[in-house]
Amino acid sequence: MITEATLQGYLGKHISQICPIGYAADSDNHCAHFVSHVLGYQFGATCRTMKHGTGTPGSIRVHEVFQKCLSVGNWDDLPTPLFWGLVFITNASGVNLKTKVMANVPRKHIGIFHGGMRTIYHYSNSRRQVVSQTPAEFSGHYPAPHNAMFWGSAP
Amino acid sequence: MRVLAAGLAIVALAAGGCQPARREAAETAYRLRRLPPQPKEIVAGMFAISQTPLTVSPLCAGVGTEADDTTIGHYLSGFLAELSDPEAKNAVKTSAEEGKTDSGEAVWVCRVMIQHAQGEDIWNWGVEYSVRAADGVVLPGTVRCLGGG
Repeated sequence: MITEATLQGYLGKHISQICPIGYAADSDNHCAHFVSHVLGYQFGATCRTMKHGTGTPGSIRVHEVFQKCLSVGNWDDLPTPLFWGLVFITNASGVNLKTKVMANVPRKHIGIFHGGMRTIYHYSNSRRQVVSQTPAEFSGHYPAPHNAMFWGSAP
Repeated sequence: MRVLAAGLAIVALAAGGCQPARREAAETAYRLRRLPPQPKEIVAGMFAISQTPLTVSPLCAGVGTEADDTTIGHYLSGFLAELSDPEAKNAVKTSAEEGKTDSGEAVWVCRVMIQHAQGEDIWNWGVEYSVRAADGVVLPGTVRCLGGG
């Protein structure tokens, strides 16, 4: 169980302050990378796949995290008891909820939602830091049709 | 055409089978023209591995942009096709480092990364493959798919 205070502690941080491996180039996408360091995911491709370094690595691919979720669904169907979990945004055409498969399309993004307001904490690659947004704000991360939102219970 | 032929021969080699097919594959395997690998040759090597199946490495499983993508060529094409917007900042980055295979053979480890940045649409996907240092032959079985996001 992660606390909102823990997530707030990441706000404003660059990925170089989060990843001990040193995989921190701004030309890379760090959304899944951030989530994985916070939650301790080390499956599939990790930052150590990309760069040699010491420390605990984190997974770096959105579609691999999606597939590991215990359950997934459309954001509008988010179960009320789920107090925190993962949120994804991408084109719905690349998502199969039954098989928990998300295509590795270029435009896909992941964050962590928390609390009754569903505040979303994620790594903004353009702003180069961890930010928090409301779900409504997060839905504008990509233009339509790449902005369908999904929830996932954390693996 | 030469690269395509090399790719087809590589598929024949990967599929195994009769000895003549193996011999033909060995004779037509893509060979870098100059070592150390230079950017143009590294990209040519990437084309040569285009018919390699995504099953070549666990790091390539599921990296295709469409569900029915099965080869390195499908995977890379999915990202190259996204570079057409003149407003975006795109790049193809290459690198080569000396290394060794698990059996101790000297190789050049080559990388090609396709970069794109436009607003929050930021990604960097590509491949890594080894080239035998002794003769410049591209080793399709060493392919790994790199990138995150």
